[in-house]
Amino acid sequence: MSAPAIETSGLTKFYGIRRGIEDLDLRVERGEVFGYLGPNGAGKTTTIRLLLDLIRPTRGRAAIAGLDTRRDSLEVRRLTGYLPGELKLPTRSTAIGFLSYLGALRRGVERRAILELAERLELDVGRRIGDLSKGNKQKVGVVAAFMHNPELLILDEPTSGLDPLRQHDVLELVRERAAVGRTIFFSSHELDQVEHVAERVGIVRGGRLVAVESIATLRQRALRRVEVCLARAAGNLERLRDVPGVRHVSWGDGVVRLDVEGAFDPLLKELARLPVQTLTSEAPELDEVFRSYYGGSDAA
Amino acid sequence: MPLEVLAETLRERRRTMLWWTLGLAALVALNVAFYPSVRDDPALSDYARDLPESVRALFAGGELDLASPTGYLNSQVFTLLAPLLLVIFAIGAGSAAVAGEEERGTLDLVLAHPIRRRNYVWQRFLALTVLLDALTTVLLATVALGSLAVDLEISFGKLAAASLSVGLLALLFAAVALAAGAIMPSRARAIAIAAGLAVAAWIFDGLARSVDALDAWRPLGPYYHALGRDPLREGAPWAGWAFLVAGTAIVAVLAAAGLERRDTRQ
Repeated sequence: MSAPAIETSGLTKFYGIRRGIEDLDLRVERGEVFGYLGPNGAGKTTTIRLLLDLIRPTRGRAAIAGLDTRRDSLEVRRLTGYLPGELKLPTRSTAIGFLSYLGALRRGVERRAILELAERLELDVGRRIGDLSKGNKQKVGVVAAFMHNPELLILDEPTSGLDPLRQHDVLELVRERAAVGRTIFFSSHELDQVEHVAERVGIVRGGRLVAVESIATLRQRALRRVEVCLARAAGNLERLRDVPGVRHVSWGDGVVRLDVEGAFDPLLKELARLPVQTLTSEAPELDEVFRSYYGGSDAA
Repeated sequence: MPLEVLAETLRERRRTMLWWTLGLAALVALNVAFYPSVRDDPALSDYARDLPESVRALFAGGELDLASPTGYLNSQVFTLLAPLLLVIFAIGAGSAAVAGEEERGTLDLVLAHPIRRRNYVWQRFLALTVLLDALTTVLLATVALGSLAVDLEISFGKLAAASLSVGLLALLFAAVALAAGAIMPSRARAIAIAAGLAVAAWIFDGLARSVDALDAWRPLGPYYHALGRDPLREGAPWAGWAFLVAGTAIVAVLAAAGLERRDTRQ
């Protein structure tokens, strides 16, 4: 059982002439938490649906735990848990009714497992799905993906629609499963959803895998926007331009805005001589990560 | 073989089924209940008899003998109301089974589970069979009770034969709607195809009955096999049933193959 959790070679999907994903060569090791990152429409969902045999590749192939995703699809789906990106559920069933049905399709999912997960996520399983809020519906999907404790979890934008507290719960579940050796492959268009749980990240854009990096490397290269409010007018701000890592500086009305790449240390030392009132730093937008990677070119 | 999809489909449909049961029973009972007053009013029978042949062929299964019990039941229930209602139900349920699920987006998650697509389609088809079975039984029970109430004196066996004919006819169109939705992801198109075929076959049968040149071609259409041999008078049309069952089986196989080979929509 040494085959990687996910391995694709030349995996390509065109919808007519529109590119879904092209020549994807990806390898995710067992026990790894892998973030699949890209803007909307980059090909993340296409990749995931190819892995589950919901759509068929134009060319190329994919394997999960050494099993071909076309030929051995049934076995692949048996050992996979899946949370769709655009989760749609039957509105008239109760949560427990629908989850029991999905559990029956998998055979041997204990009702207790469903109830335990639901309780953790504070999901009232007795209610009709149609009456649940968007976040609670998402929880039904999360329970469905996790309830059989699968070898591989494929989560398409798992935290979308959840409030920050529940996002935390889901990421906590991911960490827990990772700790017992499960493989997790999850997609997101937001770096900060991925960076706290994933070890490695693949970045897709326009249907191409443009980079696979460790989170540490990515973080170093990510461009962060920093805003510094000064307590009073300060003297020479021009010096900020020469600080290592600072890419862009502008100021006005006592606020300094900077784009910073990599470590903050040099900037903080420079700021120490200024009358800093507050300092805020936003999580880098994915686009900015790309820009830092490709020098603003769209050629990727 | 475990039949989770079948069980789930029946669970989903139970409320709809309650309304269909009540509606079908009420309409059929109402029709049967009017028999005595129609029989006792010669003006109505005369009117029906005086209609042009072609009109009678198209609109009353070729039969407008309203004064006799079989003639009345054939023209009012077994060639008109019952097939109309059951085929409408069949096309609605058949198109919902795959295309409807897909359009609502719920198919994706289910098919990501370890179940073969052809197995999924097969169980959906079985569910349609069970549902139409139930409505056919409702039809038969209502007609049988009604004919007892107004003394139609038609044997239960013949009522059963006519009811089953209607049920099998509807099942064929349920399979057509299921297959259309399994092959192409659109519920509206599945309904249009199945309903279009049902109407075309119905018109074809009416024309074939009144136009001599077409008469030899009548067995090409499903209506002939279901009702053309007059099960209410002649009893079970075994060959016709065999034709309908075989046709339905072929269409069901096409449905399974259709979903098996294509991309599903998210």
